[in-house]
Amino acid sequence: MAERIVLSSAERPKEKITHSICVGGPMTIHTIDGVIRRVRPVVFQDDDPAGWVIKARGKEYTPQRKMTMSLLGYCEKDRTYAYDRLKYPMIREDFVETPDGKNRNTENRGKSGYRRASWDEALSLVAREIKRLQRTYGKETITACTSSHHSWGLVGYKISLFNRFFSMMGYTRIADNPDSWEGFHWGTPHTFGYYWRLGGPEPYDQLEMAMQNCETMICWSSDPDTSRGGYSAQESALWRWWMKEMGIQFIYVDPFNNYTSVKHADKWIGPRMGTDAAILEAIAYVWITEGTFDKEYVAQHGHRFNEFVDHILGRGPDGTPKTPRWAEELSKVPAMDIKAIARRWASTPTTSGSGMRGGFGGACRHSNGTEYARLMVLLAAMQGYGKPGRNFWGPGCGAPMNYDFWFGGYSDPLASIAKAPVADDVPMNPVQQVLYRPNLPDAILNGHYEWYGEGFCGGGIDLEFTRHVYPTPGYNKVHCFWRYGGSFFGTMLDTNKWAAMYKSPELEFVINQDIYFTPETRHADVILPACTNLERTDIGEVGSSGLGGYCSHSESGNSWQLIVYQEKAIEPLWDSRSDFWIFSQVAARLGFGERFTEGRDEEAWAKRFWQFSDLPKQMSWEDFKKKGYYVIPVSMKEEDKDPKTGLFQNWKRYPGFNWFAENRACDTMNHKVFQEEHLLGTFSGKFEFVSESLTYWAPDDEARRPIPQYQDSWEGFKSLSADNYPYGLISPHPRFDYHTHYNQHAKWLWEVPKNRVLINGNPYLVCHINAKVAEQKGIKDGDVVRLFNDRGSVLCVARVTYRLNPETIHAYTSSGIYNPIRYGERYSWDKGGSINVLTPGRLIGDYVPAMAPYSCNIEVEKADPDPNFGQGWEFILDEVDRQQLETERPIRTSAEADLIFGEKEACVKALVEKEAV
Amino acid sequence: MDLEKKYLLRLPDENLVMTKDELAAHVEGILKDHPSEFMNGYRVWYEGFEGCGMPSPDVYEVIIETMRAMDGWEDIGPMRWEKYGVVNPSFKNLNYASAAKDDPNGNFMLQHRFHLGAHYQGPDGRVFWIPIMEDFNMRGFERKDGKYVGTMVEIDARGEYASQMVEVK
Amino acid sequence: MLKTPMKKPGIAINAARCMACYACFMACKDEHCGWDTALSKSQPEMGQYWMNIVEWERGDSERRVKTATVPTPCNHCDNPACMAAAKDGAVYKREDGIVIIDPEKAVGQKAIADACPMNAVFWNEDLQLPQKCTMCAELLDDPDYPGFEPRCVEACPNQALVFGDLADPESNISKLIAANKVTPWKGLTGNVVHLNTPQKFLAGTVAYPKELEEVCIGAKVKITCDETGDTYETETNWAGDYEFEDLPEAKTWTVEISFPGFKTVTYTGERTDVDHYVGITYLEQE
Repeated sequence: MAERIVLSSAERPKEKITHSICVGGPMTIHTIDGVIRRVRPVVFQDDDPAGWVIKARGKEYTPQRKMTMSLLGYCEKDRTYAYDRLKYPMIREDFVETPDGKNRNTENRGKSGYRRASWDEALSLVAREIKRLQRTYGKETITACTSSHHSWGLVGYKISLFNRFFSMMGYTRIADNPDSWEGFHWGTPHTFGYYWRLGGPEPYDQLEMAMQNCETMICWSSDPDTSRGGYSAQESALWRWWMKEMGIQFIYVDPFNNYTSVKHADKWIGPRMGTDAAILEAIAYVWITEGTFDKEYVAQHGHRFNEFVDHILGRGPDGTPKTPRWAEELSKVPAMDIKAIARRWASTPTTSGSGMRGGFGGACRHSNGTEYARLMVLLAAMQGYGKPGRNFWGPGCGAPMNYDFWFGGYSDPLASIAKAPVADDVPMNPVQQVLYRPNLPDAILNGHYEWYGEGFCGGGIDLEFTRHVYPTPGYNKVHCFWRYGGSFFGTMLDTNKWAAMYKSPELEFVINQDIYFTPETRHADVILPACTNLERTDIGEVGSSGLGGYCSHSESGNSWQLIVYQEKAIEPLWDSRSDFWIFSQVAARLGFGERFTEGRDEEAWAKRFWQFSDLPKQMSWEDFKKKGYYVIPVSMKEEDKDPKTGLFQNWKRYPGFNWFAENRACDTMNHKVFQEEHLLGTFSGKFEFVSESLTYWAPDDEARRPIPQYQDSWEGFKSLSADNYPYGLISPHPRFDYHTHYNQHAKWLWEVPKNRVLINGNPYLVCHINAKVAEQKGIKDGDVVRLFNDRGSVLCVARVTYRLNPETIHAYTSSGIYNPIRYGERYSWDKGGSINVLTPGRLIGDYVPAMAPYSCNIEVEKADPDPNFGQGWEFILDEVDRQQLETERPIRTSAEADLIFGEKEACVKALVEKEAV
Repeated sequence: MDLEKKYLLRLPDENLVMTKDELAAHVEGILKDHPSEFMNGYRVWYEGFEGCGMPSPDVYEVIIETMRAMDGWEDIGPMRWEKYGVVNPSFKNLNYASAAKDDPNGNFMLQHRFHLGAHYQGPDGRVFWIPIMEDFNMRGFERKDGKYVGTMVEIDARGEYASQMVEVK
Repeated sequence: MLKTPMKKPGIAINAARCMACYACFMACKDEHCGWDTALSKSQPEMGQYWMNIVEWERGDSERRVKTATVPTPCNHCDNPACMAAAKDGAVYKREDGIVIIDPEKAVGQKAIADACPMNAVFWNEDLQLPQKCTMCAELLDDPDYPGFEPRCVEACPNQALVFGDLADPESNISKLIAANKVTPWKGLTGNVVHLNTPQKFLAGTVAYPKELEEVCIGAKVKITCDETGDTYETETNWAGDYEFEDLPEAKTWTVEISFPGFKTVTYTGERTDVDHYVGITYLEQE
């Protein structure tokens, strides 16, 4: 492949600098004449405010004067000019626009080629079909869904733009499940309330609290250097080194000795999959029998503790004392290690947490996940949760923040063009029927589905138990799916089920609006090419200045709070357009165009977010656009600065959960009325060792028992399937990707040896296998192996390691690549690394509509790499490229687009001719 | 045979047996000077008594009867509770306006003074929607002619202006 | 010359801080893939790693595993092997010490790529050109460029990479080097200084007699190197674990474990060919 050599720097004119944000962090983008030159972090200037200083144990700690990015931010250019960008609207080659929606060759979806179409043809087809479908079946026959983290920016984000369009048009909404933290969401509200925080704890000011008071940190099912607080770039990595260097002991519990634990852990234990709850019960056993828990605190703040004691000591109905030896039998973690950890936890100020924000972690995405989560909270309570150094927290959040400055955060319900105050005309979806995302395929394929709960139940415990039936009585079934942004092939479980769904003739029409030719995009009838957020204007924040992150201040994972004017860096590449343009066009064709846009363009909408915030008091719109960002100082008061260093040593602090331990009215952000009466969100207002809300709502719930406890999994080492598939698969959130959004597009990621290995042009995903297991099976480091069970097979490259217990195999989830060897065929071996081919579609329980990817049994064997060169679907895009077409405006194919990594001849000129528009 | 009906209350440390009058007296004690604006029988049972498991129907009946008979509480029929779902009957605190607005330690109870998400009209006639209450600040947006205008507004909950605000629909 | 003049601009690489996030790796690719600069031709999209990260797993047992992760850009050596192998001045070392391959003169000279003892020079088949890290000198020379550090250093979230003037004893980089252990990569010296690259560890756990299921806290552990006679001592911690870090490789050790009331246990012939977990020592009563 000839190299693209562009722009000798001797000829280089001045660079333009803009800013934007991606899931890897905030970016400074340098462009030269319409081409992105580089993506750098945001490095602060002298006139940006001073940072904070945490004073702890005789030293002072302050962050670097810049925001960091994870590796993904540095891939943004590679990703923008990616080989798999959607260049033009496309229509499936064998799609037939039959008048009755039948006989459209739907069984070929996922296999068919595409033909190029003009925007007019594509949009007209979409509008025509929508009208036909609505006329025939009603508005409810259209359903649509986004991925969780499609594209950063408050205008373009799914709760904003997508929500506005579809609510206005009317559609069957697909409720999301809290995929990343199921066990906490469905579990801990029944233990300590916090349903409005979706089961997670208060992170406020916990970094300082820990640095000043903690001696032990327990990171259970936690890999913060990888999960990075979610969207907190890599900011907190430095904090963890501070904490390590000050001598805080780190205990990591994870079947895989993960990337953070292998650097930080003073002690790592690797339990067998799904046995975390047993170890927690055993730790409680040690505390109870040795009397080393906070008796006063529990007496005051615990409800029905005595019954929990009976259960732990074996005086309960099951008669089994939850001894460390009992836990060892199940988990394979030696009893002596469990006891040592229990004693360390009790005897030193210990802060514990699960996953990246305290209330996350893969261990809760398991059939026993709710019980694990509830026990994590109860054990923290037994040691005085909320007292100095004793909190429930993940070391990736809780930095000093200015809570007195409000700007709409990422996923903040107030920061949406579908809601007030930003929208004048707030659309109300007229369709009551709802579908549930994890089981969308079941609903479509079976024509019927029932479940409990609203998906995200932040509005109340009662919302976990609402009864849903599809189709809702009086409504018709769904016959059209409009998929937007990102791929469920890779993230949703039981991938082959999704492939089956797409082939079903029940779905008469499938639209996919995306930036890339993702695995899911390849299953559409019509493909609408959207542009990245570097090619359109938006506004956003990093650090959760307002709410944000799906519950109040769930972030505070950055050392700085930044608001960014996400100015368009380059024009949309090829014939892609912004999502806003696409939706406006369809809206216009459907007769609600003006209502949809309210006469505003994207910049005007972006300005609305600035307007309805505290930012106008600090910066005019013009100044903000010019500078490109605003750093919110942790305090606005000069007197809060340390005169020696000029850093802020004071700011308004609201240490999380401190109010509860100190018996006063809650003063932390976003609290409930009853918290002011010193009550938690449980029925009794206390920590419920026996859950009243479960007894009230779901007394026969077999997944969540009134007393949380270990239970064998319906797919675990004691299941029948373990006979054939003896290994537990652990599939955590990926280190080298963000939910499918990078791995297929940014080839640089294929060069990270721990991520993927290129063989015959295919980037195989890395999996980890214990050294002894590998030896038994004749597998060497670097061999291609097949991971398989009844649901399918995935080819990976093996890394042989001691970072795993012998009962577990590790491979990251959310593969951006899904690639059946026999292209478009279900159950064909996937060589893209889509581990979710293997995971079960079964929900945790009848009353717990949650995904459980950690309950997965597999086998592994050596395999031969697929000898066919390449990923196997590039030929489809190449074919479309070769097609000629008259379009409404000239396509920007030349110099710009092919510039960096395209296929055509080398280009050395700096200047690109601007098209006539 | 003892003909007086007894009520069994399952509580964490011990089970108590009470007569109807004793039970009613406990209920009244729990509700006296209660700071909450709304109550229901489950709150009395779980928070007030620290009851274990669902209240038995006869105990629950007495709780409701007692609440209905009390001067300070009005039966408002069904109301949705985030914890319990729809509870019928629920009760409104008639003494709420003068009920405690500081916790027992003297800490300010912001959401006992103002409703989160409600609209308030200030003494100058301006109407504000208050969707955020953080610390002692209320933050919101001014509503004018059916739209939200201006920029974010911060109102000191302890200040003059706030004390004269009236809730409007 | 750098726009902010430095006598000896250098990068300190602290393996004790690096956690292999690959931000530096990607930042380098972002800067150089597909773009010529004043000092270099563009790197191909894939296949070259001017900022490479060398990783290896440390430990032969699940009970104690660590990783070493060492970013290894070109060392900008004092005595560059690539310069020695180059003809016609195709490789030159600037006054400030930065080593540059001239993208015009070096065409066809594969020997330059082959000469590097740390594989930091890559051969571009299409351009017939050896290529490597420039320490982003072309950026730092440029008064219009708004940054002040090489891209890799700027990207590092952890201060595992630090840039500054090695010739200034008051600079942060010099102070950092003075306070840490210098561990030359492959024995090379130059404008890149490696710190704290680990050698080998010996680790283990001490426990009471097995049936008690208890770790032993405060047991004394002493190791002696057969070859050098050096000895080190420590005590087991709250988890019953002991560890000796940064021991010389390929040595033989005697490990002696003692705790009052129990028989002293001695292991001989424990090798540090690899990072080694001695084992769980179950004490026996005296």
